[in-house]
Amino acid sequence: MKTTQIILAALFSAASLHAASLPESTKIDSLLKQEWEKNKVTPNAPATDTVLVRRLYLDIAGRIPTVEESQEFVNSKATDKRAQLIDKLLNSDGYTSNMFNYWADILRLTDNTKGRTAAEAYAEYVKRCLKENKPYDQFVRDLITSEGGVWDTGAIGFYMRDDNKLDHLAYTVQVFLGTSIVCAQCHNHPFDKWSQKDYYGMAAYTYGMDTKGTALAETKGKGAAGKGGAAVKGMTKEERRKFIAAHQAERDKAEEEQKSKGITSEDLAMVKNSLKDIAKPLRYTIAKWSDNKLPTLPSDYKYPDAKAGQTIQPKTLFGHEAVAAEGQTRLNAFANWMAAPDNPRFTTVIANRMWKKTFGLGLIEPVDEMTDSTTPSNGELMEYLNQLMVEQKYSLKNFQRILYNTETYQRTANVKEVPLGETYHFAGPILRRMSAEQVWDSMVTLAKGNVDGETSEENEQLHTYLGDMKLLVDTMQDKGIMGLAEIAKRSNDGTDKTAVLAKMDDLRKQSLAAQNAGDKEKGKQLAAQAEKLRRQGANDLVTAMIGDDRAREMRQNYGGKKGGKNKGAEVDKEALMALSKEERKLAIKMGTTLSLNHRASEISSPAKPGHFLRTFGQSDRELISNSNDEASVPQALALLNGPASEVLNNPLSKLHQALNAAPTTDEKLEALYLAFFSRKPTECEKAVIAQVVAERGDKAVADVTHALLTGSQFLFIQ
Amino acid sequence: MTPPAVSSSPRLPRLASVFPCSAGSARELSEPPLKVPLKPNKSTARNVIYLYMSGGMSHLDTFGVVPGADTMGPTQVLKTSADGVQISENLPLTAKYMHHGVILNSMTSTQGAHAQGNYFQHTSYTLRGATKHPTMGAWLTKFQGKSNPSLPGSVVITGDSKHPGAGFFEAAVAPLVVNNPAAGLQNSHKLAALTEDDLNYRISLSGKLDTAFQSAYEYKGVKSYSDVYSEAVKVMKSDDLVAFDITKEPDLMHDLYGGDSFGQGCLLARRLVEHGVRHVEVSLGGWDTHQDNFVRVPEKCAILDQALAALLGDLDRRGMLNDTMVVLASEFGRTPKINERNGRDHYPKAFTSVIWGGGVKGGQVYGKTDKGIEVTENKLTPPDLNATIAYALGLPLDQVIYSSSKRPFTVADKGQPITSIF
Repeated sequence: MKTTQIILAALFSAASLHAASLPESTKIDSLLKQEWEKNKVTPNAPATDTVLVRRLYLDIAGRIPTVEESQEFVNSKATDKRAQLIDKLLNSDGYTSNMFNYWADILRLTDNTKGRTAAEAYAEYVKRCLKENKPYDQFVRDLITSEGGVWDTGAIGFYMRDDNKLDHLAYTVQVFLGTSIVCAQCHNHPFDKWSQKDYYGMAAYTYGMDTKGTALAETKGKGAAGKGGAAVKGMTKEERRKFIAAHQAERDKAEEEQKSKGITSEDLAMVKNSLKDIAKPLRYTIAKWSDNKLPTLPSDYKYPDAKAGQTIQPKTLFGHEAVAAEGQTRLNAFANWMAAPDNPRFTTVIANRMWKKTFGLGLIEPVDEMTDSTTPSNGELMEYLNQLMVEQKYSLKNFQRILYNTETYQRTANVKEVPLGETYHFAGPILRRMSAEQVWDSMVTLAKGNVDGETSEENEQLHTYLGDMKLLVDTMQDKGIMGLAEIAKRSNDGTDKTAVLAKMDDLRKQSLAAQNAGDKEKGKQLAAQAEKLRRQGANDLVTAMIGDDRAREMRQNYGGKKGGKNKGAEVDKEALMALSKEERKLAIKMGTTLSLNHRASEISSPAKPGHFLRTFGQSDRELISNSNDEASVPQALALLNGPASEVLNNPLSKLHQALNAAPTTDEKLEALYLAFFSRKPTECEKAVIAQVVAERGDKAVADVTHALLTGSQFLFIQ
Repeated sequence: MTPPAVSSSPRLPRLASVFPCSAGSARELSEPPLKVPLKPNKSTARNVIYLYMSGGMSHLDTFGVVPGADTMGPTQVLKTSADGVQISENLPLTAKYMHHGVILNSMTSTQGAHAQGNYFQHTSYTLRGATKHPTMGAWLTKFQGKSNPSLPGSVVITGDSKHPGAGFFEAAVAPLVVNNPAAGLQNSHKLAALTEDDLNYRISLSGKLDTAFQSAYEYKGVKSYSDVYSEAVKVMKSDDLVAFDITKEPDLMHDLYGGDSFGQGCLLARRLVEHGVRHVEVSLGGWDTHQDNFVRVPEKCAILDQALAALLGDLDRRGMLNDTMVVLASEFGRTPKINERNGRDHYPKAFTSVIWGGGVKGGQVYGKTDKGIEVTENKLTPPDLNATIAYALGLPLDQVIYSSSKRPFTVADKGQPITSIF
């Protein structure tokens, strides 16, 4: 018992409160003080600089500080140094990276999806908005009203994320309005007041967004045959008749044009065939809005308030109606209704989310299952936070700055867990386990130092690719299919394309015949030859349309982004040159095992199952906020036996170099504690370590490093 | 952290007396399966090896043959070890084991896209809304717990990262995903540069240096980190860890199953089942044959045939086929009509699954189609197939489990088991 007291005293050695006096922060503190007095709660002691510097770096920049960073803060004599650090971190690229991970979990960002280009453009878009600190209400409105090609805006990724627009609406309402209506998609909500008809009324706002089209469908003159199927679906008989008649006229005109230009039907077949081949990269790249498309109730609709198959008009769940102004679509009306201070839930949801992000627990829990009977744990505070969010014009940076500058945030973390269902009066922040990304980014910090600067909201490779794509789509739209046939003819280098086409068909027939006759090998060869001819044909056309270089890029399809993506371990050449031959060998050998070079936001996201990040609970991005912070055996195995400890002991790692530079064992171990915990070892810890040094000699430093890495302390934000 | 259990250094106890560590016994990793005792039906199978053909396996060119039909294209049929049961010539080795198998010839689904079809086949629920549903391995562990506490309840061997896994169930019942069967269980062996003593020393030291933090904070999450390290050490020392190590198999066995990832995965599946992992899934991709179906299907079949026949023969010889059900499934079949590229497109309307062992009466074909186009007898949906597997495992088909959003779900979503094939 006595030891524990000593330890506690060491951990929480006296510190005083010197939060900056932002009036809004003071107001929050005074509201909490009332709450403490009312409930006879003693607030937690003020946190020390060493505890706070690590917490602020993790909470704002998403990683532990380097030794230099934490020491600079601790040694600073400035009276407003905490406010200064908060400002510095909020303006760092680390903030963008950390907030990106936070939103990626909520918005379910994934590049493990059909429209890879759209997914990456969306991720980049979100990063840019965070870096610019785009007001949150504007961000939401921009997402909801986004449409066009992926080359126009990455925001369409919001809609591209879900094929099913009914599902997408449920996600949207849950994320931005903190309301779960998903049950009502199939039947009246069993625990809330929403009816199935309410659901369809809400869904009617976004139902007109089509994400299944392809840029190819935009090609002029592709005719009714090309896009008829999808277009005709959902039309009334009358509309369908008109549509078909209009397209007949178009087709007649096309035939005339074809004749006048001397284009044969074989030419057109060739072009269509070629377009098929470049269709793949052009799929899932367009979100197209049509204002007249509305949902109909399903065929098994069973309530008396409406009939199965009935078309449902848009209607909001709560608040006033969303009426489109002159010249607006109902999508604009919906966005304006949702992201407005007078929406009953929009502001509360984001204010509560930010509170939870800062203090570890929401005033309303869970954050996205609000009902009419939901009451916050501190109503007055919630009301004030709502007011503050509006006053700050939905600037999440400003809002967080106020929270970080409260005295309450700067107190020690609660030493006891808040039992489920019990009201917490915020005597201080909650102890939290780092998110998977924070664990990863902290390990990167140990290995590489501060690499926040590489957080990139500009993905050049993606933009080059999108540029090529846009040129291709523009050319197709501009020329129409006749024009493309002309280009194809012009690009003809003398080979007779019709003959090529015929040969291809012939090869296919022969292949089938060979297989029918039982000659598998021959069948296979012939099929491969036919495929080669087809590819060649497509390549020629694309080359003729957008030039050789660009065509080559398009053909290779979009391979994925920049930076650490899919890269193996990189070795810093300069650092390598500074090493001895032996060290170099070791470094190269070890550097290939785990690539602790890039922040989590800059590598494949989400990482594959089995990756360090996923092992520590990174979301698979299938469900909203699906990350978890539970301990698991694979985590323990990863730190015990995985390459992490070796990478940190690798001669190239920043940690190793710092330890090397420290002249004595004592100083080495002190450096180690500073790197892991931003503090020096306590007297008790020193005693343990002294014994390790005595027992293990040269092995002591590596032993302690590995022991600290595998302890729980490293993984928590105190 | 509980160093006494793992310490091997004679000098450490002295330290321990100076810095008493919180005495914590290793808690059960997984929560107890279910509090309410269940009355399951009598099971016919103890284990399931679920072979998933990703991409949509052509039924007509594999197990759903219709001899003489024009929809067959160039694919010929073979007689098998079961009277009157024929399968495609692409599967000559498997043909020898059809006396153990039941061809489910009348599968039909409403899901014609890959992700949706795959999800439906795995969970019995359609992919919609904000609920992620559990897969069979997770249901099995949830209902019946682990059979070997030092191994995961179920394992999925796949390169794909979209397996629905535990769905809304807790992480403790989630299947463990193995990407590379040859590599086995990730990080389960100590680093080569460390001796056994080094590692033990570090583990023990870690516990000591963590004591202050562990005792300062009363949080479940903090405590559980000391627990998982104890568990991890148990796993490392467990005799059952060899279950993951297929290098322990003789060369002959590797040759028999095939050196590709699917064959190696099937070999690993057999080892895992032997050691008490009760549900193992192995996936084989590349069945999406929109073009050159009659070249690509035989290529895929060559891999499938070797591994599947090896697995069935191996299980049979070891006397394991009676209580191990081998299931072959795919998201949908492929169009009976051959397209202009000699391919077949997605076709959920009629397709085929197969079950071997696990208590089924082998040598049957269940259900009929009209030339692979329409199901004409004994229609079966993916929930029906899953209900059949769950029935064989003795899982309660009507036991409702609520998701965290308080919505009710059952294993196989009211699918009807085909009891007549047992």
